[in-house]
Amino acid sequence: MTNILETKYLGLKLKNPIIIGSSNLTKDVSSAKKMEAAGAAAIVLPSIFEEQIKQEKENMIKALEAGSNSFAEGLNFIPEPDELKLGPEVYVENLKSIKDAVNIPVIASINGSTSAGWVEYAKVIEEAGADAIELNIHVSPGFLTAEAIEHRIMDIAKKVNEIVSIPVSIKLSNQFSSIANLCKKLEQNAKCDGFVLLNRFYSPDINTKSLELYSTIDLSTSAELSSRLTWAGILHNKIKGNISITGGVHDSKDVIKSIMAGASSVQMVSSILINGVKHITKTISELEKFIKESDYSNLKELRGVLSFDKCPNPEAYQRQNYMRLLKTWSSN
Amino acid sequence: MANETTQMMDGNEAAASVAHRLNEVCVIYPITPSSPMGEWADAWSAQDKKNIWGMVPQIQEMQSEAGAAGACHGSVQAGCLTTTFTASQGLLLMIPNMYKIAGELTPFVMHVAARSLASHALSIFGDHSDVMACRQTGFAMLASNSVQEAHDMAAIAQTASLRSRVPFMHFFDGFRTSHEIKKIKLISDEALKEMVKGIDVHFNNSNALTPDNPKVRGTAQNPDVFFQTREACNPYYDKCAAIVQEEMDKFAKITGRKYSCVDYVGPKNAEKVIVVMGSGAETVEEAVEYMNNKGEKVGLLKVRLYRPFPAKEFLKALPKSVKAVSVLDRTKEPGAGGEPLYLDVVNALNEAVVSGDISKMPKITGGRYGLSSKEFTPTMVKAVFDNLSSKKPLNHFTVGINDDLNKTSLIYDETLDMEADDVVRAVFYGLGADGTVGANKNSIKIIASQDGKFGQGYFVYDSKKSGAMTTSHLRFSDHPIKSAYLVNEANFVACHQFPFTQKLDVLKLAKKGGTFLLNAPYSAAEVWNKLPKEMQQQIIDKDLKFYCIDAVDVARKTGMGMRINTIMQTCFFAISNVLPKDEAIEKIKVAIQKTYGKKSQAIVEKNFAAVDESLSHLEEVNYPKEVTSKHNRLGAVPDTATDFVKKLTSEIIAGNGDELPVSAFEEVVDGTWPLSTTQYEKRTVATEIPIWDETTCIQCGKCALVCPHAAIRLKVFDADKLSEAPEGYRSMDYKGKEFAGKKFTVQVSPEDCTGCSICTTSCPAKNKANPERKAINMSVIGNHIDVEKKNWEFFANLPEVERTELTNLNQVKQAQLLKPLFEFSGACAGCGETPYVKLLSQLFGDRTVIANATGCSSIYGGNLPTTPYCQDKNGRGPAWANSLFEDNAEFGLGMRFAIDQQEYFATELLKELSVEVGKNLANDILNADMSDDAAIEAQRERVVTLKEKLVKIGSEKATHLSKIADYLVKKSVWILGGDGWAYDIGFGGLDHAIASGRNINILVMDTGVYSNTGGQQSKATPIGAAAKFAAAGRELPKKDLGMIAMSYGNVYVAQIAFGAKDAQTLQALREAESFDGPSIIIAYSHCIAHGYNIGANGLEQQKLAVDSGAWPLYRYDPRNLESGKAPLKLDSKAPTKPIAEFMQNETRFKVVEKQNPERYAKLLESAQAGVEEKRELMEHMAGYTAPKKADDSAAE
Repeated sequence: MTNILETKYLGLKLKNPIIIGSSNLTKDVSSAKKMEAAGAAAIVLPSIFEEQIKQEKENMIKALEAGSNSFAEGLNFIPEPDELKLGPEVYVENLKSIKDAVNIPVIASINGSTSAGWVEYAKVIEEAGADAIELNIHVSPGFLTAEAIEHRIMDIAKKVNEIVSIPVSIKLSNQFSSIANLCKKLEQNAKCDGFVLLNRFYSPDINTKSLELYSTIDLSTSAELSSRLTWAGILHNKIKGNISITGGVHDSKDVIKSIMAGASSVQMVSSILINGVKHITKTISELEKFIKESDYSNLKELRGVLSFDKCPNPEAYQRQNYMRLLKTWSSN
Repeated sequence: MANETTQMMDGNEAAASVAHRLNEVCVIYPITPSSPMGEWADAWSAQDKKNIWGMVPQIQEMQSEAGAAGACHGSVQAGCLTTTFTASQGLLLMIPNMYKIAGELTPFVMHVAARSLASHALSIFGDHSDVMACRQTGFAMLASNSVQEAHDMAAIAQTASLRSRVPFMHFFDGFRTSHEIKKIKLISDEALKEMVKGIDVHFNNSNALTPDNPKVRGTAQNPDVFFQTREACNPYYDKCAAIVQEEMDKFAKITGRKYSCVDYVGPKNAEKVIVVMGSGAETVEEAVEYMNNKGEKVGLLKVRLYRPFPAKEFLKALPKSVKAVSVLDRTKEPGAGGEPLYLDVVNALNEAVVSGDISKMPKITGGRYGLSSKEFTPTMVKAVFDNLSSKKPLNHFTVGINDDLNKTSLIYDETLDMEADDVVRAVFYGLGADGTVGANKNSIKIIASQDGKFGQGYFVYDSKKSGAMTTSHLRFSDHPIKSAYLVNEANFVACHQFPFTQKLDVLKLAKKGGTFLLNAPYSAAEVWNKLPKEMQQQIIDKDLKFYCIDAVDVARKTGMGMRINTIMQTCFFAISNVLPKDEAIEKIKVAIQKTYGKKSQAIVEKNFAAVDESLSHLEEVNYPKEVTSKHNRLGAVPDTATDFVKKLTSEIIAGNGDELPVSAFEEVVDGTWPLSTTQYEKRTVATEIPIWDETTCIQCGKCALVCPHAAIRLKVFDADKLSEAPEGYRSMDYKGKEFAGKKFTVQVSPEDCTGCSICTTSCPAKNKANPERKAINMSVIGNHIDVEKKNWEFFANLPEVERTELTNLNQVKQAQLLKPLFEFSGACAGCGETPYVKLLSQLFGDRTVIANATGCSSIYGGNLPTTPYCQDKNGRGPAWANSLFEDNAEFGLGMRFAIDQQEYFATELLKELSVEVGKNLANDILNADMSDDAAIEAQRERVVTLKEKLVKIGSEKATHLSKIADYLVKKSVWILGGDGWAYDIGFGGLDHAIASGRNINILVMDTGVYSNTGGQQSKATPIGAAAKFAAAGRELPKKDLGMIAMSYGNVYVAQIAFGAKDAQTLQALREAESFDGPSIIIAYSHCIAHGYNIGANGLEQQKLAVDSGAWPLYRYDPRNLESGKAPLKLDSKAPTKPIAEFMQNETRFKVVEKQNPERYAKLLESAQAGVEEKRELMEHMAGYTAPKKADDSAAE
């Protein structure tokens, strides 16, 4: 029987477009199996944090050396084992276990800000059997120029793609002047296979009483989908790589919108955290129902029908849309 | 003998390496200096390292050495080859079982790092007091004199015990051998198998108690047969020495290393010999060689087998030409006719005369040397030989000290250097925190791992746990090194900390023409005039080659932080010429890669950069040939110090304790030392100190409460005092009605602060304009020390608040206005225990007697040179004593007995004298309420009046009463210790003490490990934490001591954490003290053994411990039962955070996760389930109130 929901992402054949995004929902074998059982087509593992590993290594050495050789009765305090898994070993072991336990594609994720460590981690992740790698590159902008930031991202992506043969996607945030341009460059120069749009960050807030900053991350809402649809719509057919929309995909309607804009898959997290694992099954079933009840025979036909290239009112993707909306708003 | 493997190691590792491979069960318990043997065994078994029979030995920690001995006894009786490791008081705790094991003729070997026994004072250092106290047990005793021998004799003892059925104690000198690093030849597994070949290694098994072949052992015997049976064991002892010799001979065939039960070294025609055991023999051998080369005829008898005493072998080894013998004992037996080895030798020779084996007794003297690791050098050996040459040699002499009191000491020539010229000798002065010792251990390995090179490393640590100075003594040579004593003529001296140059004589040991390397924050052009005059003179007189480097700057630039070790190590190799420079640098880099490569390449790169940068920053100092400095070396103590401190303490601080004569200690012979002396030991170890910002302060007092060293204090004072204040002195108006109109200051003592920064983390106030800043902020000490020293001096002289003026001592701020009677201790920077001790001293110090269990709190509480407990303006303060580790609750309970007895008798006498002293006064005293400070003060005043009256009365009873009248004022007994004491070794006594119903207060400072001995697991160690003896992470939950105590129902119990809820801490301490019965407080104490920066994060971790449920806060007050309330009050909420959040911040948990993440996940799950269950149980208990008593009339 033909699978009407089948799609492709990063060259991987997915049974439907729903990928479970990088989060605690995919943290271990038991979680991954639950996602697969509920119908998820692929999973992205939580990120391995390059900086965290580096920091952990340094802290561990400092802590083990602290207070050593200072006092005759206790020349050290914590027994130091011969082997400590201070690098990516734990991540890799978890990845291997998950790969062994599920049949759906498993995408590993690397998060970091410098080029050190990326190549090492990417290589061991590939060797551990990941089906693809998602690079979550965060460059703290400070006063860097936009060009310098893009250059660093390009550099990391290029190095990783040179070292691994599995597909590599880049997860980008909306903090770029021209996401489309950056994606195109990443595809052409760094050979990236796909793009995950758009990342969401922890953002600082102020406690006015304690005079302190604190960080929070709220779950996404469908209202955030719009900006993702814009870039997916603009990029559809302009790049060879696939687009996966993340941030704001909450139900089957959001999935349909994302595919119509041009994405080949979506990544869901918040709505599953809110509604439970059964929400995956429900969304897939609603999606199937929509296609069956629509004029489309399968998901592929749906893809990009309302992209910039194909939609009846492409100006909506442009500034005019902004102008018009603004006018409407001000007249209220 | 072919393919011999050599390795650098210390005596503990050398002995443990054999013990682990030749046993099936190791029963262990930590005690310095033997703990590392157990740690090695535990680590090897954790790594699945097998013994020579292919099994991984089982390692089991016990609750005490007594427990370990019992478990060893059981294990050998049930069929296993079993061993244990111990020292000192631990060995004494094993004595009862030693009699049993020996009486039952059971093959068994224990390994002892011989250490002093506590008498007038505790000492962790080496001598034979402990092993000599076991010479009567029936154990054979085999001594090792060096690291190599500790390895070899471990094997010989094992096979000799198996063959003879006599259990063996194999011992070597604590620290001198146990901690000395030397290159040794390893005994391979094959060699060990060869050693046991043909021996019934399964004897214990075939003799085992088993229901399959049942036996009864350990019967009670009566006068008719006991004696005879006791004598029946003699043949086993008679054969023992011969068996040992056979095993030694076999060992020689296998390894090439020859030993005898008694070894003679020297010419055949020697006229004088010294008899000695242990590491001292190495030193004597060096002196004998030197003296014989000078034409003397002297020899040495090394007694290796001490029990059974090999008299026959001794006589055989003693050259016939010998006319005089001097026997050296490393122990003291007050009142004995002589020390034990001396008496054994006298007896052996006397018996030989009686039996006609020798015609007459040689001249024999006995003497004591080396107690508590006191130096024993070749020149002292010469003095012993010289003594034998005198017409009337001194007998029962001492050597190595100046006994001007008893005139027992031999005089020796301190300037005589008997060491071979080709030995490179280096001394390094550093701080514990700067990595000096680690780098030197590494250097020895680099040098001595070369073929034909030999190395020796011995490390001396001071008694402080923060800002501790380390002195490394290194020797390198092309010949094996014997010298079992410190370097005293160094070719190379390095001072890794510039401030030492201003206070200490770091060039005392420098040899003429030697090299001096100094880490200084100055260039070669500047550094000369920064040195004190005395030091310049020494450099000129000794014609030293002088190099300097700003290692701190290089460390900072290369990302090494405080660790200057790699930099100074590189400089050592660059200028010492022990190895070709380039080769040495290459080897340092290889060592760095080996140490850090697996963990972090970034750290490797930083170290490489530090090595490269060091060479370009190292400068030779071309100094003038005249003293140009304008300043002298600083005195050890200020002029304000007491005469006692100036006379005695200051010499110890200055490093001249060895030179003090016996007469200097007449005043303190019984171990009683004056209080309040840490105030004179200005150590200035902080690099940053807290500076108060009065414009932001909210006067909460938290900074003073959390300060581990009482280096931050609060005072209120009259505004007019400010007229005398130094410039820059800060104060503000006091906020609060109790001292309205007065001024308030928070002041740091800059020279006593350790710079831990915990005060700043406690500060809740934020500067409104710049919230980054608080009311107290760390700042570089150099910018403030001059001003703050003056401020502190002024502050210290301001009057203390009267205790009676304080209106609410449950308020942190008011409690912190009380003078701490525990100050400036040597505890670790950021210590989590000392704030409790300090608070206790503030609240009750003027009426408290403290019994302190051995451990961290006894070390920072009473380790010389100075004492942190101090007195108030009335001369009152905590009276403090340490008995032992295992008996502290009983010790404290005994104090209560004595205090109560004297109070009782004073009461009785007062009743009898009530008419004479006046009935009103007598009644007021006898019925006084002493529930608060004001009432206690009133009672003190009444007792003063009473004493005045008693003088006038003048009768015998009145005189007696006046002597004990102070007991009519309330006295508090506090029993302090750590979890190792309370949960493990002292639990039996603690249990009995809380069941006694007596008014005692127990404060358990719970770090969850044996902190003082280096972090071994206790029953307080939390699940999931790695600790020594639980290297893979503890699998079982922490024992709930509070719950056990609550089960009595009549015990006040509280669990507290000052960093989480300081008000509850205060309340609990005060309630416990006010409770007229036993109380126990279990206090969360963060510790460096937890593996994080306790200064910066200790308080936060305490909060997390409470918020996650790992450490629930509660108070159980039996008094509440009487008023119908629930006795248990939970002072912390149900856990609001997962326990993982608490555990992830500490390396003790992290290493478990990083070893085996899956196992850790399970331990974490159990830990989480554990806190949830505990909370449920405690909530249930907190709802319990006593059933209402039946109404009496209704019952009728």
